[in-house]
Amino acid sequence: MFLKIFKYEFKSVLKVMIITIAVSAGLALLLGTFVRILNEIAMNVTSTNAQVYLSLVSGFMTTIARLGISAALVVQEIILFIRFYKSVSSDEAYLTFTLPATAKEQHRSRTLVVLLWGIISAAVMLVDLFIFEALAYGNSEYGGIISELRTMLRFTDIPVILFLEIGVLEILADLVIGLEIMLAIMVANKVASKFKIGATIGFIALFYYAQVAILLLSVVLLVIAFTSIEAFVANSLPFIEAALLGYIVVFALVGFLAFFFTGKLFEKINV
Amino acid sequence: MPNVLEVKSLTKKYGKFVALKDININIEGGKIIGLLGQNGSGKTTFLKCVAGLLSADDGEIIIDGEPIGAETKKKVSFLPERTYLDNSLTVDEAIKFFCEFYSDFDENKAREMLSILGVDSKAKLKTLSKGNKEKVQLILVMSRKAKLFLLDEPLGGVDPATREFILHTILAAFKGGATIIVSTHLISDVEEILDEYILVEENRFTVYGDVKALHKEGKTLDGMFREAYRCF
Repeated sequence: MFLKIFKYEFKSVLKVMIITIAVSAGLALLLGTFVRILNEIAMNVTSTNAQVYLSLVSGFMTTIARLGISAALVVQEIILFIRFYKSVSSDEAYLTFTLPATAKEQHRSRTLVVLLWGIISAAVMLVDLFIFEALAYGNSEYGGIISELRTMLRFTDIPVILFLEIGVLEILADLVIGLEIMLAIMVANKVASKFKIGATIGFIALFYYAQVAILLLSVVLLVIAFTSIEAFVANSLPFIEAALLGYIVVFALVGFLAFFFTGKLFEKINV
Repeated sequence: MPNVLEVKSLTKKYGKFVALKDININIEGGKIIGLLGQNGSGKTTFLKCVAGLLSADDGEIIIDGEPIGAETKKKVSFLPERTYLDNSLTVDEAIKFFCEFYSDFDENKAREMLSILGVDSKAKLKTLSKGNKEKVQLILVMSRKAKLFLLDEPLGGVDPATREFILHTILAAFKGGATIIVSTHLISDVEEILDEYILVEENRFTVYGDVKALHKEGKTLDGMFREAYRCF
């Protein structure tokens, strides 16, 4: 029954996601090509005004493309959680919880759908951004993405372990947020017989701000430990590596707790 | 016949409100039972507890010798008062869903009933009228070869011709040896098909009786209900 539920839910989400994936890919391909054409025209015109104008339009289109592709990810996440909400909190819950499946099968199959689609959505966004940058700006360091990242991080050479930790933390944070939203939906379902949507949003905000508060507090503590931001940036690499490892452990623990308590709520379902 | 449903000291609360209090009942297999009571008396709560949609605060429910769980849900078919199917599905997809998840689902029977009612199987559920959606839902639920059917207000909000169809469908399922518990306010419509009745009053089961015995006394279930719950 685990596989049946997983297959059905995955396909249900796919039916809607396919549209946003197509829109995101379309933006990357069309705007990437358009920006490339604009840039090539700009390189060949002699008029300074024309060059400026074309550069402005190119820049604007680049912003639209990047924002649009990122927005598609947000829409995909919303679709994913609306699907979960409908299956456990709306009238559809009558069907969900009369299926001949154990609470564990229900919980784990739906969790797998959320996690898998979370990863797929993030991967689609990255691929589309890559496609856009490669089309629009050519192949030099994939259109400057790597140098942009380095500038953002203010390091000219990122140690591999730090890069890996940041990567793992990004993926983990994305997955844990998914688990927290599932927990928020189940908690709201349990405590709020009316205004479930409002309660869900409230709990999501609560979990999100708690996480942000923990992160901000730890950054502040690290900066205080180094007495200044310059000293922190100059000397803190080994400590940042250790701190990131600590964050990974904390996020993993938060994710596990969210998964555990959501499972408990599946066992005590009240439709 | 052996008991298909045994309920022992079932209590269900919503916060401080006691929806069901100390319910004890044993229901034999192969009967059609009417669950009757005023609004808010606990009928739907009882059906939902038996269907596994609500966790009881106290007591136990045994279905065909097993406690409520995934195995009993294979034997129980529940029709709620509201439509619960995903509106984005077509009727065909809803049938495939039931085929996939319920091994006792009779697809041919479902399609036959749909064609009798003139429902297009390619239509999306969201394009159907409320009445037709309810019919589709009823057909899907009643096309299972379940041991226990729980029907919550199946006759509410439908036209008389459809009501007759629903009663006919209920009887067809009953001939398969199933036990059917029907919660309804339209007592006069179902009285002719009921074997037994349960009166629910303020979270308790107050009467569990035989309809034929009631008729032998010259009474009707409808008349008894009206007398018991007269408002003026």
